[in-house]
Amino acid sequence: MVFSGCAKMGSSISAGNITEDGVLENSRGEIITEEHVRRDIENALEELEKIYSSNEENHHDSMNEKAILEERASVLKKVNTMVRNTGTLLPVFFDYDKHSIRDEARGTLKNNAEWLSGHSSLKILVAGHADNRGSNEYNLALGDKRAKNVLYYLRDFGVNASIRTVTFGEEKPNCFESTETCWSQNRRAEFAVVAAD
Amino acid sequence: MLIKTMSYSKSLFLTLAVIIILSIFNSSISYGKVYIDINSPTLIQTPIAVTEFKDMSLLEDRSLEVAKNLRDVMISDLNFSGLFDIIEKEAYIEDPQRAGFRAKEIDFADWRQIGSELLIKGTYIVNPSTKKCKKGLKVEVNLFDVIKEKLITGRWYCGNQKQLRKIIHKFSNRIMMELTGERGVFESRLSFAARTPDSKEIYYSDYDGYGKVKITNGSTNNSPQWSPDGRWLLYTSLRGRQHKLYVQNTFTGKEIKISNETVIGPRWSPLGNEIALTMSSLHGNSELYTMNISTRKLRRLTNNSRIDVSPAWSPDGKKIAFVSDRAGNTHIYVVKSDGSDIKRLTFKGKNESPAWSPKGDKIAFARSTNGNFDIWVMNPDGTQQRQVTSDLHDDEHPSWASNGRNIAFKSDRGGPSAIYIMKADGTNIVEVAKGSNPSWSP
Repeated sequence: MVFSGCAKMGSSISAGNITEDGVLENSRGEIITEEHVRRDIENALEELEKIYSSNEENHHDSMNEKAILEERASVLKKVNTMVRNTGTLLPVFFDYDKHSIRDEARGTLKNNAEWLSGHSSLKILVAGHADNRGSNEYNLALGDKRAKNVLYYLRDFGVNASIRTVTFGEEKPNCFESTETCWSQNRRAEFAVVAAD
Repeated sequence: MLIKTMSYSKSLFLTLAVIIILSIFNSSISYGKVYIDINSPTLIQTPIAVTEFKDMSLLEDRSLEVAKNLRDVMISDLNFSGLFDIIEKEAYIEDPQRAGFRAKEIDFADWRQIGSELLIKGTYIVNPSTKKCKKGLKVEVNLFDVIKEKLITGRWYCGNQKQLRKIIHKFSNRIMMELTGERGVFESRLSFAARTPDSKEIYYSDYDGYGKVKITNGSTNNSPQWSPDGRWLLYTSLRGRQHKLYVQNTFTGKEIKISNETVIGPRWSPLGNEIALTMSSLHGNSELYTMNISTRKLRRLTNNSRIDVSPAWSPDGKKIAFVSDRAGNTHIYVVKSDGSDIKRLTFKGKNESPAWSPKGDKIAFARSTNGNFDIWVMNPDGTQQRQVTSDLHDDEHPSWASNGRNIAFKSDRGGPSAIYIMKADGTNIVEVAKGSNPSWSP
């Protein structure tokens, strides 16, 4: 099935139904395929690039500036939600107290690298996290190393996009239980789009 | 320990004779009396009684609450010191109507009979409006030697009602000095980080957790550390994706940014002129540096591809203990403050967050041998490593009081992360606030 609609400029995240068979339909009742997903993201990224480039002229108008920043933030949020929901830039996970890239993570990073190479105008943030065992200062350093190791790995793959790293240490966990299941979810590096050229 | 006496004049002669003889051989004996030898390994708690503070206010100003608060803070301070066995007021047999506040108005037999050796009595006036005191509260406190039937020290204080706790803390400091010859820490402050639903903020409070004040406003703030003069707080604050280094004057609220790049675990040198910290933006890896506060110039202390973090200055500012995972697990090392002569101190378990006692004789740290962290102490050369806490939860991030006898630490033994204070031997553990990363002011 060919998807014929476009996401509206400045519109909120599109929603749809889930059929009895677990198939996703968009608001017009059309079944959502991979192609839909791809087009949705592309549209959102185009919107992002337009916003970043077209508003340079209005930069000095301070009243407008607030509106510009809010619009950017809202589009970024939409993009990152899509990035998350569609598995476009998946996070990678780490062993306890380690910052080296695991074998299981290589496939994910290869996919991320390929996508990034095709979207080189984007500015990306890689955030390193740690589980809450050990001192939070050590965990800030650990999160920093994890993010940097992901960055180096992507560079080795030839990714030229602008990538910055940040560490959150144990400060922004995905879950709070003291179990290995939860800890392993927190030992991660995550990707986010933060701007476009 | 109190010296038991026979008759007053005989004991006086003996005391003088002993002092003269001993001072010939040992010039460090102080001229003043030391009631409690705080360094004695066989220290027994001295029995003490604290009566209700008597309300001398005009009828319309009377306040039972003030009386209760004054006594509660006094008892809490005495308990913190660990030096006293406080006799419950239900055991007191003195008739409060007839007894007074000067030594000659007190029948000390009433106090000896219940086993007390020390006695605290106080009075207060709400809205005194006298020449000497025009503020909201005047308090008089006397400390008596029950055995010798005399006043050891007595003070009056004038302040606002909000300064009630501070007034008692001042007297507690005086008690410590009079009885032990050591300065008390009752007016010291704690700083710590605590989470709100959207942020992690920096607070400071009295040493007992009261009077909490928030000094940051949003984002993720971490690692508060006091300046050597106790007026400024260092901390990192996540702004624009960097954990930037800030310093704030706790009296004026003035905040100054020191670094634009991410800093982890800053620590102020006891000499006041440098900050030890970890940064990874300079050499691509988490290394330890010292930064000169005036010039902002950095001197590199470590040079390896591993994580080096959490510095702890020795009180003379010449050495820095820190954490490194260069040997696999996290261990504690010591380096000279010029970066030379790195020595390893720990060899077992995972070891983190070292803190050097202001007396210089011990380093406290957190160790995990099979899962949870506990507080340990060791000598600065790594010998005599001893476990101090033994809860099954994580006890981490110790911070010494200036007396070198008390330690604040973070623990989740009560559920959510909280700050506890204790004696350095692990006794007398008390929760004082919710939060993490405690720093005890000088």
